[in-house]
Amino acid sequence: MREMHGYAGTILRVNLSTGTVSREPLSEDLVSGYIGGRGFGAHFIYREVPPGTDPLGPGNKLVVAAGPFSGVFLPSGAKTSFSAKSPATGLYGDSNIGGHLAGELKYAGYDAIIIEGRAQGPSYLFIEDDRVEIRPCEKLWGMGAIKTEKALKDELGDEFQIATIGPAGENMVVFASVNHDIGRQAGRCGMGAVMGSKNLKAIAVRGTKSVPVADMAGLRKVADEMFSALAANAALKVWQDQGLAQVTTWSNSIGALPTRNFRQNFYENAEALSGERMRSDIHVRDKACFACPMATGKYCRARHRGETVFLEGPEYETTALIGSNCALGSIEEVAYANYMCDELGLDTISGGSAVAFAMECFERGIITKEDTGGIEARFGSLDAFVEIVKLIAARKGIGEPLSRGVRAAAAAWGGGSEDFAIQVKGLEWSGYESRGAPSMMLAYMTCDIGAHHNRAWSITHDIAVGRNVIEGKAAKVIELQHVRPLFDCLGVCRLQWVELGLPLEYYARLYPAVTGRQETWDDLLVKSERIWNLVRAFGVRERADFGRADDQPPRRFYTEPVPDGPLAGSRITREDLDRLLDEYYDLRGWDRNGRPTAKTLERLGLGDVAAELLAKGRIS
Amino acid sequence: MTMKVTVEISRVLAAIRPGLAERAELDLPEGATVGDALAAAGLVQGLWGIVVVGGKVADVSTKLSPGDKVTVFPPVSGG
Amino acid sequence: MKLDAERCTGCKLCQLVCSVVNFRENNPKKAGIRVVSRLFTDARYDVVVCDQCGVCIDACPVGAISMEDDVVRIDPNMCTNCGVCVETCPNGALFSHPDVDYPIKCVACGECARLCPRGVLDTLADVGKVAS
Repeated sequence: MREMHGYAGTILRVNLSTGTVSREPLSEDLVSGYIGGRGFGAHFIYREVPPGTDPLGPGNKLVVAAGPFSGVFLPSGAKTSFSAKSPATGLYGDSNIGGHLAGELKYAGYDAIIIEGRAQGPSYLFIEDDRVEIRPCEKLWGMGAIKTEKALKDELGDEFQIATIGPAGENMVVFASVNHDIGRQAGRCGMGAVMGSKNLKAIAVRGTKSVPVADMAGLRKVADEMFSALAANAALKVWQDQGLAQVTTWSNSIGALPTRNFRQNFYENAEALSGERMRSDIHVRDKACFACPMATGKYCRARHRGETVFLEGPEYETTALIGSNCALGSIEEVAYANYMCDELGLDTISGGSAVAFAMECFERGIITKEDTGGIEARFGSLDAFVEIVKLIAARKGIGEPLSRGVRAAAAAWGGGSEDFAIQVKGLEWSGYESRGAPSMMLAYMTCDIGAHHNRAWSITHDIAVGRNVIEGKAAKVIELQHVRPLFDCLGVCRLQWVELGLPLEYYARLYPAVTGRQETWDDLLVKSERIWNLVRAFGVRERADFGRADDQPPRRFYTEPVPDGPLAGSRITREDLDRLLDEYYDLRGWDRNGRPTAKTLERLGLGDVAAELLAKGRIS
Repeated sequence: MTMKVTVEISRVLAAIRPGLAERAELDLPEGATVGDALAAAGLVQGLWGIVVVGGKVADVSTKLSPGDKVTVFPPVSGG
Repeated sequence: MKLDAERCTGCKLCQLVCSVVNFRENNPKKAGIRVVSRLFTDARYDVVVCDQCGVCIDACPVGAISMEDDVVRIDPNMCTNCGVCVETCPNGALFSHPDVDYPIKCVACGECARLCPRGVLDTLADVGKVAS
């Protein structure tokens, strides 16, 4: 077999139902078409998970994939993508994780693992180079996600990189996370629930092999320049000190900080949640992902009611969704709540959002103390937060509807709560309230996995060109939706580019040096657009009624003006949203119902997908 | 009296609006602050995050000296 | 020489660059240095690397280890990969790898020290200067 530069060269396929393990050579079509990481995930989930598959049944598949940059000598080739049909949305979902897993997987000899079926009992996947075993782990079932990692490290050794789920994943909470390296999560889209549905408690990997590259001298030259540029970067120290926690103060100052279930976008107590307070009050140690000089991970200590816990975080998203959105009073309270979510195995974004939703329902009388089992579910109460997330992880009481996401909980509780169930496509909204940022609003509406910020983050674009301006915003969102997820395909972190300003040219030079493929950055962007459309096509194939209606924000955002803070009184109208969507669909080559046209799919090399959807009468 | 100050805008930040230069040489009145320099370079409030002058983190009220270089990073770019 | 790993963030760039420089490969296990996580027990990382103390020189049954310019070196041609030095090393700083038929150790090239984002390995850079 020809050595494939930048890749381990093998896909590992594990069927938990039959206990079989097989290996498939990485195909040239797969690599040239989909790059790696999220691209591999989208390819396999589209091709191998047929319409109607139960996301929590044995027919769903979980793809764990590194990219060509993962584990290679360059800054932070640390990203692993987890992809599956999402139990939160019923659509394609993926979420990625930093830490040390991606490289380890390739050192063990695999670019991706495809996990199928369902084990008979609690199991974990053991991988050490060529040795792959499905091992029973009855004694780990029910254990917290971080404790499980410690138990496996104690048994296997520190060199094993481990991904685990907590009780929430076992119980198939639709926003259960996959946990790794203490405090790194693939949090979104319920990838932990998919693992739980397969009785898969953990994946443990250790590898001793090398990742071949095409041009080692060329790679070293570019990487050296990148490491030097980062070392000389004047902002590096701030990132090293505060990590992503520094964002809180800024987000509050421009009216974007989700507060009290997104009713507000300004938190009067934000100073208590700032990055400076994190550093001064609870910080213990800086913690980095693989080969990363930024070290945005902040290992912290939190005390609550006589208990002392250690955790990684909180970073911005957690501070926003658990902190201001539930109106907690200090960064230490946020950290304790963060720890509870991590150990239970809950996404802090959706988890924080679910609790905030319950708190608003409680304060409005839609649910009562009778429903909550006596919990005073008021904004600002850490005790209430902790009790509610425990109920969610166990799927008991009010935790049962909440465990299916705020969209499902609103359907169960009624009382007009649908209007403030803050989600798109069934995925809870992440940390940027966007009534005063039309392009960011559009980014959330059209994000392929639901209301997530990281595909296209464009608030500064809104600030720069006008926070009420609608025209031209769609083009920026589309541009970002191609370039940003490209990093998730390459298996490398984006922060060095987006936050420290490392020019994209470096990454364009890395690609041929690593892979030997003489392709330009623009060539890669076309692949990213292909992946974007393939994910959209998954939804179109899945549901006859999938389309524009799935790209809508909650009513709160276009019916309630911002009540206070720097953007008091501002709003976005229903008409604005429609103009944004029309412009977006037109530029993408989709129809006005948000479906890719056959012509667009064919242009992107997805002719067979176009034919399939045409035959079903789903596109024209 | 005026003084010369250089403002360098991180490339990822400069890219958010057409016409925003990565590097601007400015003539500012003596006693001007970082905030004055950012405004003169076309940056409105909310667009900058970390601002560095002479290798040290500064804020809008930091007084500038002739020949200073102000380096501007985006507030955050959404992870 | 004891390293002050207080500032170590566990990124393992030192392991990665060691394999790149000394083996021309991307493989942190083929490295003469290790970052060990002690987060669960002590909320810190440790860095394990040779301090060129020379204890292994006398322990080697075939005389394959010697000191040259203050750096302890293993002669791959003489080494039988018996593992005695690996067990004898007081720092645990000699590492076996399944594809390399002699133990891997620090040769004081200084590259990890040059790239360490936290300056944890600065003392190694001094050794590197001696070696070059």
